[in-house]
Amino acid sequence: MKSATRNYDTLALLGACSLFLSTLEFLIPKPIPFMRLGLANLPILVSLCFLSPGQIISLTVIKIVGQGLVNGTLFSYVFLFSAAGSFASSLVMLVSYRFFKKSLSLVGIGILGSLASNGAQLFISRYLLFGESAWLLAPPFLTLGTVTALILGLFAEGFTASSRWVARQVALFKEGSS
Amino acid sequence: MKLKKGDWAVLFLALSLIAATAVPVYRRSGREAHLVLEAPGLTEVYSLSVSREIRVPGPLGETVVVIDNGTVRVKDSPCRDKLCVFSGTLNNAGEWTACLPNKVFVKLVGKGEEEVDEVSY
Amino acid sequence: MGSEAGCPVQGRFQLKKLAPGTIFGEPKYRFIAGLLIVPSLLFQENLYIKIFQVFLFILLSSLSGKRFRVLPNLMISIGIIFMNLLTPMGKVLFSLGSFYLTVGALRVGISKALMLIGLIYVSRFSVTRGLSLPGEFGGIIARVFYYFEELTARRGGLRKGKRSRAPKSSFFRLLFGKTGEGAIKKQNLFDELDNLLFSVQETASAEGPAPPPGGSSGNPWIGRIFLTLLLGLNWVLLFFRI
Repeated sequence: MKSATRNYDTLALLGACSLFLSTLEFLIPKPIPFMRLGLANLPILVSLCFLSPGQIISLTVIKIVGQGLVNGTLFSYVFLFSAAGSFASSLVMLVSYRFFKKSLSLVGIGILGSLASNGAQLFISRYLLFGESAWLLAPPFLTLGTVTALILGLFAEGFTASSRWVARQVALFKEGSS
Repeated sequence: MKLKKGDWAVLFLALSLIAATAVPVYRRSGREAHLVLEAPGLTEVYSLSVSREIRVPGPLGETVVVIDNGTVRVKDSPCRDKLCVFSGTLNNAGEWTACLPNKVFVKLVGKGEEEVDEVSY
Repeated sequence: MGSEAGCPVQGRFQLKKLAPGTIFGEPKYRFIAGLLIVPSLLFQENLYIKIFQVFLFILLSSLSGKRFRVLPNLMISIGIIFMNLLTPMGKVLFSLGSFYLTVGALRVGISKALMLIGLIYVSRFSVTRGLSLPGEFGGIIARVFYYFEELTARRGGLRKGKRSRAPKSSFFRLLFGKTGEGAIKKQNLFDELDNLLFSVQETASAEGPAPPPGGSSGNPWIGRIFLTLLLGLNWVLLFFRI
């Protein structure tokens, strides 16, 4: 089945992009390294329009596992953060894409995803790593996450609008589901 | 690139969440008190947010201080009258109690307050 | 040891080639060993033993070829310790206004930081390229890494083996702006990205993803014994009271 392999392949490609972005993010020195910028969500944001929800979840899993393997954090708390944040974010983005596509662009969806991700991570850091002082982190990280999401959203909007590659994927997707 | 109406709503939501978490957190850490224990040769400070039992060594033995749900009380002490145990619970900054025979001082100090006043036994 | 017979002069090079594959065992067992070692690190209460464990795994993963950079680890540790210091606990070492630096909080912070770094290096040690996760999922992951290599290939850099044609562009070029047309503008960026994505997929269908590197030479039992000893050591350490 050609289209199945094609999807498999595209997923892998997107996963690799995500991996690249998350490695990039990991290398940027940050005061508190757990709260991440969410750069690796960009491929998910971009592919909302041509992947099915199931595929988006698969992509999320690929993203999480790939990150864990490359950054060497597979067995640690960081993995837990990563997983929780990514799932929260992807679910929120899926839901908002599905139901609010008309009133939200990728910018809004991206920001919602970032809020979900950071929210989940704040909860986990409160209970596992930092204790009460975790809430002190909330304002700066929510701000940073929102700003990053804004920029990524704008980029994603621009890219999906003018990219031939994306257009091709959308066409393939429509073709596959009819 | 056009931003749709919903985007602005989301942005507003994000900003309100940021404000909502900033205000109580920064205000609370201003008012929150912590426990200061003083005994001969020892000063210890504990946050009230973690419930625990602390044993403070004094000349007569150990005074046991308990932090429980943000309040503090003396659970036991090797003094004869046990006034410290019966003096009740400490809740707010500025409140204190002590076991004078065992030379243990238990007080709640708020942020921004200065050092402990000099007390002579 | 090893199947390369008598070239005593090359002893040192030989050791480097042997070590990752053989002494530490096959990828699958390394992974399982790593997984089983994790709880022993989590439950370890003694700070000094933890320090030992952390150093052990940093050493092991460096020997396996994974780099150890001081800075990111230091920053992570400082971050955790700092956050924990904000909740005072115990004897006061130092005070600044209403901030108290306490022994207890310091201890907890250091302990958590060590645990995290330890876990990171255990996983760095236990996960190797040869590891193939079972089934379809493993296949996708292998492909993902393949694409990752493709996307980050540097122009004319050191590429092992079969890469005879470097892809036309790569992420690094995108980021650092040498598109050949001067400064990066928005449209250029998108176009470059497009080209990259298309070309990578085309080369892929022509080639097929690279299979994971082959098995190691030498006696597999050395590896298994080593891993068992490693596992045993970490668990026994749980019972030491220093």
